[in-house]
Amino acid sequence: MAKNLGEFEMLVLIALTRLGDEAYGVTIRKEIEDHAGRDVTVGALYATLNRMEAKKYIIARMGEATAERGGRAKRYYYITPLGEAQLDRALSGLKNLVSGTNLWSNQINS
Amino acid sequence: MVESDKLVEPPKLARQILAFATPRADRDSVLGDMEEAFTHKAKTSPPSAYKWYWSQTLKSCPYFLLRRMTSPDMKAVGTILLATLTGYACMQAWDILAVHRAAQYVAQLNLSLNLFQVRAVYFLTFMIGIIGIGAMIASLTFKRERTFLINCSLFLGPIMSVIVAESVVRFIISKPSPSILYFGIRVSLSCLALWIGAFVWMHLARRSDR
Repeated sequence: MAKNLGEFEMLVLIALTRLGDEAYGVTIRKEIEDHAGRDVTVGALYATLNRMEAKKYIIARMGEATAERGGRAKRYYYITPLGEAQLDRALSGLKNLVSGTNLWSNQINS
Repeated sequence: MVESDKLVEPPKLARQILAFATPRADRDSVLGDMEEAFTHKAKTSPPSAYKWYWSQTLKSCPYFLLRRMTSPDMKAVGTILLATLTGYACMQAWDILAVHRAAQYVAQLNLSLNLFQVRAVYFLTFMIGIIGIGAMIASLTFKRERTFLINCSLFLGPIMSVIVAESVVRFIISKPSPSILYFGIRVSLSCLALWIGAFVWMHLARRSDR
């Protein structure tokens, strides 16, 4: 039985969905900071990415190395069907919970 | 211009700390991500990029160190150390109880089980522990890209250290000091038990693969 997603795990999965093929450490962190207003440390991000990779919610693939990264390769992350199902389940639960209240009404019904 | 050029490179010490704390599997991507973000930030404000790098390093280190401590290798080393120390503590406890007149039940148990040689109890505990360690080494060898010999040396190190330390302590406190033969027997038994454990694990692993 799959465990429930944590809040930060949910944010990371949403960021991966938004970024598509361009999701790696820097872009994921920027996406969360820009859109969720959360200050993300690289340690917390990698801890979450590793945990979700172990749960098979995401997969990683090594990418190209660039000069601005000191010749180090990027590691791209992709959401798996299991990850998508988990995210969908978590968001549906959140939507159902919020729907009976005045909280977040404009956004959730749009 | 000269000032900004100096700060284009991330702080060396922070980078070294981060490299040390980060697990090997993540090191390249983490350092690369940090360098990329630093380069972008340094284009607008080098001093704030410098501060950002340090703050990220200090905030991230606990996550990485925790991960390193809970990695399978570290857990295995911890288990081995615990098993070794438990075996040693059992032997010492048995020694103390067996010679203590107040501990009558131990004396009776000694008699009923015919365990006059209390070392036998320790050897038994030790052998069981080492068989487990052998199985663990075999499992790590086959799951990871390391040779059996390297794993053996990594995991037998603490055990051998305890044996040697115990011999030294016994010599210092003038307990019957172990002879070379005694030491040799223990090491040989350890190796034998290790190979038994490894053999059993490999046998079980092959059966489960079928």
